[in-house]
Order: sequence, then structure tokens, then C-alpha cells
Amino acid sequence: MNNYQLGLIMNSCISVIGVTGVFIITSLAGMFSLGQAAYMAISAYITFVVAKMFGIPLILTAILGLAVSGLCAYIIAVPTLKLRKDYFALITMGFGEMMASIIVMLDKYTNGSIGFSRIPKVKNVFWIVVGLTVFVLFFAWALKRSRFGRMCIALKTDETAAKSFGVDTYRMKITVYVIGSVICGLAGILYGLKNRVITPDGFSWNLSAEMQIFLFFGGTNSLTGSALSAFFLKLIPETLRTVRIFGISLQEFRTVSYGLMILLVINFRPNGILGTKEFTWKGLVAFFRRLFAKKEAKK
Amino acid sequence: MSANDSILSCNNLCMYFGGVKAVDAFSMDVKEGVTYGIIGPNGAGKTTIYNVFTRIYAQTSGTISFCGQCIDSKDQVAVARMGMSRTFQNIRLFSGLSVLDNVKVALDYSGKYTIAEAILHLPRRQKAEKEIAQKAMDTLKLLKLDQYAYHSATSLPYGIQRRVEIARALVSQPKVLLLDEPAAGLNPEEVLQLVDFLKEIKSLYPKLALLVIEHRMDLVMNLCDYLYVQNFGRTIAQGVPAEIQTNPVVLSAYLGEEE
Repeated sequence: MNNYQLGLIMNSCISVIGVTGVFIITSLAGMFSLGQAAYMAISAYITFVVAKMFGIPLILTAILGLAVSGLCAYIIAVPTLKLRKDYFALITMGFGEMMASIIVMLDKYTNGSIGFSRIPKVKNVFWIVVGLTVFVLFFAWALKRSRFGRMCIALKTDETAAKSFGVDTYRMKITVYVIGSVICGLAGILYGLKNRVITPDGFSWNLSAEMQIFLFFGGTNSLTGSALSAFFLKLIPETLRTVRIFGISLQEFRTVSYGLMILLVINFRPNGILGTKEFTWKGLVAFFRRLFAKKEAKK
Repeated sequence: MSANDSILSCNNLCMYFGGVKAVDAFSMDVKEGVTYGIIGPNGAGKTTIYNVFTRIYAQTSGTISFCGQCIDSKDQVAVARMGMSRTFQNIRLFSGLSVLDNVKVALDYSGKYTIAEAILHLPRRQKAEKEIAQKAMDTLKLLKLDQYAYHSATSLPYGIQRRVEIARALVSQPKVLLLDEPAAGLNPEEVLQLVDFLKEIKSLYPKLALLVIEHRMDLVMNLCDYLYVQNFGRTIAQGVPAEIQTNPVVLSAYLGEEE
């Protein structure tokens, strides 16, 4: 595979990591966050700017970046999660916009809207990205299948009932929000490593919305569904870049087609393509068996 | 009966919503192993009493003590963890989870592993998960619900959902179980099954104090040892079922005054 193709796969993997972070927040705990790109920005900028300023190895600043992301998430979550769900969505969205402006304001360090490009080249970026994607997916899977996953799904469906079974919903939500935001932060760092330039525009509210769209397309409560949709929905528009209709590249229609997709999914499969089911090989085999059984029956 | 063995008691409990006196000077004493019924017409404030007990609402005045502690300043989670368990009038099972997982949720707060161990899938998680699953399955077996363990909870018949909800409330071995209209929405046959089911629970958990809110006199008379009759937030009568059945005040509240 050439570098371009590897780059596409890396893009998709980064998208998978970001969406997994959103999955933990939105699908498990039912918090609709519209500002997850902000955490990507925080982690990425801190990692690369601090590394450049003080000449510290990237691995250390990356840890710092993730920690700051987690801290910001905690500070946002403590007051906001006492409010109703819709306010939470609004405030996270506001936080995302605020972060983008702060980055522009701090142009002395971040180089403002031109973007920060003094990112060192790292060897084996491809394998780092793929490896971390696998790890993050494993973490999220393990989380979903643990007592914490169950408590999250319980509090998402019925918070009062969950509380009356001893689930500390407020603390649970804060914890989950911090974890999801740190994972988004990781996606931001990898985005920087791969592209070697980060701009405030790259982490705008478009990205937050895009991640939510991928999540809902794949399945509102399906980790595999949202991971697959994050991977392929990121990949497909890029591969269609060269296809032209009426002299316009199909990629130009990306936003339009996202809108169309969401309309179709909400209309025909309100819970996303996979809904609450997880994709498993066993399930796939069973699905094909049933399909063939139907065809046999028709004959 | 001495005052010492009461688990849950409340004194002059009042809950006002603006000008509406939903619960007015309600006093109650709950002892272990006894089944209590709270009856009364719609809007008599029965569910509000439960909601105050479980700390969904904070009372306007009055005190509640549970297990010898005053719980006036405790929150819903703390009281649940102390051993107060309840069901809801409109069944509130967790729709995204299977029957077994629904029951597990009631044990999850006490699970013996941290979130880091969960994410990393460490051995302690496996061991604790096994324990939780075992306990949940034991309760389902005890209540003869194990055949539904892997069904999606909300796709089961209404009568079964009721029982799953009771199983979920029982799995953590509570000291007090509050049942909020367990027979609501059930057909007559299911009601009879429910009475048998509740009697079985009483024999399986002899120390459990059971509180039942109910409209249906037959169910209450069959099941309860002591009754409180509520009307417009006030207790109009209390006593053993035989007394209540012939109490003129209760009859007039239920059937209307004789002209």
C-alpha cells in the first residue's frame, strides 16, 4: 500500500477512536455531548506546543495533554451534569466553540488560525495509530460488559430507577464523561501526529457533529456498529474524491450526503443500522444461515 | 412487639406540593417480617409516601428513621444502599438490558472491582462478575424466573415483567421492600398468581418487611397483616384487615356515604 492509502486508513482509525469516546459518553451513559472535538484540540495542542516549547519528549507531553483533557472534562461535568440533558448538550457545544476561540487568541503559542505545524515526525505512526485503535476498542468493549457498563445503560434508560438500586448516577456520569473525553483527546493527538499540522478549524463543531452522526448511523447502542460506521463513513468520501458529477467532485457533497443519510436512518432505522446489537462472527453466520434458509423455503 | 425491632418508622410525615397536602401527618411503624398494606383511593398520597421514604422527595416536615438512623438528610442512593428497595407503579425495567442484567444492576454498586480493572479486563473483574452473575441467577431461580434470564426484559408479558421487577428489588437482600401497586395492569388470573408469588416471597424471606400499596381489597386482605387507609393525604383508619373491612369510615371513603 502506498502512503496515501495508509493515510486514509489512519484517518479512519482516528475517527474510530474519536467515535468510541463519544460512544462511551452518548451511547452508554446517554449524555448528548456536542463538543467532543474540543478535547481533541486540547490534547493535541498541549502535546505538541508544550513539546516544542520545552523540548520534552512527545510521550510525556501526550500524557500531560490527556490529563488536561480529563481535567477539563471534569470541570465541565461537575456543574453541568446537575442540569437537564438538553442544557448539557448546549454547554458542551458552547465549550467546543470556546476552545476554538481560545486557540486563536493564544496565537503567540498556537500560531492562531494559521495552524501549528512544528510537529516532529514520528516513526511507525501507522502502527501506533492502528495499535491504539485496537486498544481503545478493547477498553470500550470491556467497559460496556462490566458492572459500570450495565449501570450506565440503566441510568440512561431510567435515572430515578437506577438511583433506587444504589447507582450513584451523578458520579457515574462524571467518570464516564472524563473517560470518553480522554479517549477523544487521544484521537486528537493521533490526528496531529498523522497530519503534522493542527488548526483550530480542524477541531470545530463540524467534527463534533460528524462524530455524533457516525455514532447514530452505526447504532445507538452498538460499539461495533458505531466503530464500523466511523471507519467506513470516513473512508468512503475520500475514495470518492476523484469521482465527478457535472464537474464537481463528489466529496463536495459530503455534508449534504451526511444530512441525507441521517434523515434516512432516522426514518427507517431509528436506532441506527445495528441498533443495540453487537456485530459478531457468530451473529453474521447465523444471519446468512437464516437468509439462505429463507431462499430455500421460497424454492 | 416492642419499639426496638422496628426497621422503618416515620412520625408526623408531611409532604406538601404548594397548597396540595399530598401526605399530611402520616405516622407508621414497620417491623421485620410483617406485611403492611397502604390502601386508599387515587390521589390519596400513597405513592408520595414511598417517594418520601426512598428520598425521591424531601418531606416538608416530620422525621423518618430507617435501621435506627435518621434518614431525613440522606439521598436516594444512600437509602437504597442501606437496604430499602422498591418497585414502581408503571414497570420501570431497564429496556436496553436482559432480564439477568436488569437483576445484576441492583448488585452492581457493591461490585468488588474498580473502573480501571473493568477497562483492562483484569482477573478480579472476572471473579467479581461471576459472583454477581451467580447471585442474580440464584435469585431468579428461587423466584422461578430463570427461564427468562436471557430474554430482553421489556419484551416479556406484563405479569412476568412485574415479577422480574420484584426479583430485581429482592436480589440485594433488602430489609424493606416497597411494592407500588403490584397488581396494576394485571388481569384477574395474573393477580391470583401474583398473590401466590408474594406469599412465596414472604416464606422465602421471613425477615423482610413488605409494604404494599394497593387498590384491590381482595389482594390486600389476603396478603397483609396490618393496614393503613389513606384518604386525601390523611390516615383515616389503621388496623388488622378484619377490622378495616368493617370500619364505617373506610367504607364511606370507598363506597360513598349512605344517605
